[in-house]
Amino acid sequence: MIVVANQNLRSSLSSADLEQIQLLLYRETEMLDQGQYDEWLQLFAEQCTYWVPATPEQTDPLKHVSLFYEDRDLMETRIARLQAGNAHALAGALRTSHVTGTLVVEGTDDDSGDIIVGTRFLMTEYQRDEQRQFAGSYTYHLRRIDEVYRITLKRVDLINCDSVFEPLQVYV
Amino acid sequence: MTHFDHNSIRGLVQPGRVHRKVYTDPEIFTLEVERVFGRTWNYVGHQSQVPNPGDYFSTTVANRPVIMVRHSDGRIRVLHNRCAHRGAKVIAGRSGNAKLLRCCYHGWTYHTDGTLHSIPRPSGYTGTPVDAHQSTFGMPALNTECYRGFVFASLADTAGGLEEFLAGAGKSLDNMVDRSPLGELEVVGGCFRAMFRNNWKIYLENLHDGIHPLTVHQSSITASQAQERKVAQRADAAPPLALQIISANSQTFKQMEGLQVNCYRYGHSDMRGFRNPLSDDPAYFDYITALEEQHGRSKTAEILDTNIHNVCFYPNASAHPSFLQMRVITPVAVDRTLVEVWSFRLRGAPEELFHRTIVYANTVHSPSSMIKADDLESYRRVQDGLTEPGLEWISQHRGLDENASGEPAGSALSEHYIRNQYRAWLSYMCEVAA
Repeated sequence: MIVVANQNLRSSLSSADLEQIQLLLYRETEMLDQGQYDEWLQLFAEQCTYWVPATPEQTDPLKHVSLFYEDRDLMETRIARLQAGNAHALAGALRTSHVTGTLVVEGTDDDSGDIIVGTRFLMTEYQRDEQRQFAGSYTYHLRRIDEVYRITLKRVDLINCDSVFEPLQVYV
Repeated sequence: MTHFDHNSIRGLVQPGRVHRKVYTDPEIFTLEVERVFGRTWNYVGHQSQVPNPGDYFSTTVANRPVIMVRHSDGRIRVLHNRCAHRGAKVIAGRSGNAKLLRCCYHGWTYHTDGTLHSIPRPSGYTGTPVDAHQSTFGMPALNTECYRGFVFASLADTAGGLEEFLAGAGKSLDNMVDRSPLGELEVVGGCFRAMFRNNWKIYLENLHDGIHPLTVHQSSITASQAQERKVAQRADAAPPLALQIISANSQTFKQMEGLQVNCYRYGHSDMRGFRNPLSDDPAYFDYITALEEQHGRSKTAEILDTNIHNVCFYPNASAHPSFLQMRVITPVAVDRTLVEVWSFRLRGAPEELFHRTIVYANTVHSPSSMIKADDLESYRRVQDGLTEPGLEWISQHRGLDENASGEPAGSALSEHYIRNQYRAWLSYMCEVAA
């Protein structure tokens, strides 16, 4: 489900736009769960960021450490490692299942004009007889490029972002 | 009661090999916490974490809850974080500021130097030892010393001075401070906390291991180098620092053999010459100018050429001086180790320099690190491999010269620094001078 919380966007976004955004963000988590990382990356703009802050309400990724802070180069590197089949820590299949809540179109970014969409999520991860649970919120920045919406930013705020962690190898 | 007497402990460490029980026996682990962590100096934190009177930071020393706190006299003390009444932890949060430290249970209150300030309805203690010796019912201070802003504490009153303890490894701390144009460091940028599924020693034994990267990090090296080739084809071909850091693990055995690993007393060691990671950055040249204004040309060159990749302050800390990181090791259980990673900002240096510290921390120490995941996998497999009886001895023979008396230096292809750690381990475990 998708709702528009912002008055201005309510009139400017058509139902076709909203349908496209909903499908895009459905695919975003579904492709992670399917392990279709190349297709997943195609949902992002050429200039893009995947960011998981390490502290609540973190505003700056350069002056504070992050759980993930990746541009396209690092995303492509991680995906190559995930696909190579020779990463020791990935011995034993790693599976995930994402569930997202209502998508809320919150507004637009002051600088870029990108549309901001938020939602809550649950992600369960399984590997070698152990299951972990992650929860929090996603914030997406979306931009229409050549008639198609692309993700310029996926920000994941985990409720336990400042906790003790074991390795996080796949995208949350 | 333990069944490990000094002789049986000595029997676990032989030239070039140790018994698997040093990593897996819960009784050995308990003894280590008391005798190794309980007898050494432990890195607690940096003075910049408690800049003002009343500022505190809570952590552990030899698994005891403690707080590092700055008193109104300006001095930093490390206090046992326990109420003298029923033993409740007085400070529950990680850090903060307080005029007085007040226990949540019955309201016993302490000054920030640990002395007792007040107790509720004191008349109830008339004629008791609490009444007679209020000064002994406080939050006692550990033996605390500060070296150039780095705060260490020891449970043992008998520990020698901190400077003597740090020995040659202290040069790494000097180098970190000297890298600041103002001679001051500041802890900023948050902390990573990671749980490792291995004995604490397995982590320290990997710090200067030049053989493992090509095997352990094969997947991330291949991916990173392929990405570097893609980047090189672009017009804006500045190689991303994160990729450079990952790809640095591809150094050949010949290159690793060129790295010098120095050993010091008390189990400490450092590794020099890994590579200079900052040489091409424009911000780096502004930084050199600022440093030269402070120190002059030749001292600046000396500071920046002191390229220490990892230093081990046995047993509870390891720094990366050129990227300004401090890792703090907590032995949680025989097969669980907590590693906390802190970043330092060089006061007076361009902001870009600190960004590079953050990139290093993210790339190497974040939970998502493509490097660390495979290191932890290897440590975990060692722990799993050693847990059941079968093959009882672990080889640490590489580079062993049984005729050598002590092994002060070797290359990153030698396991001499591990043997140096066990010399200190035996001294602490069997109560003889290091």
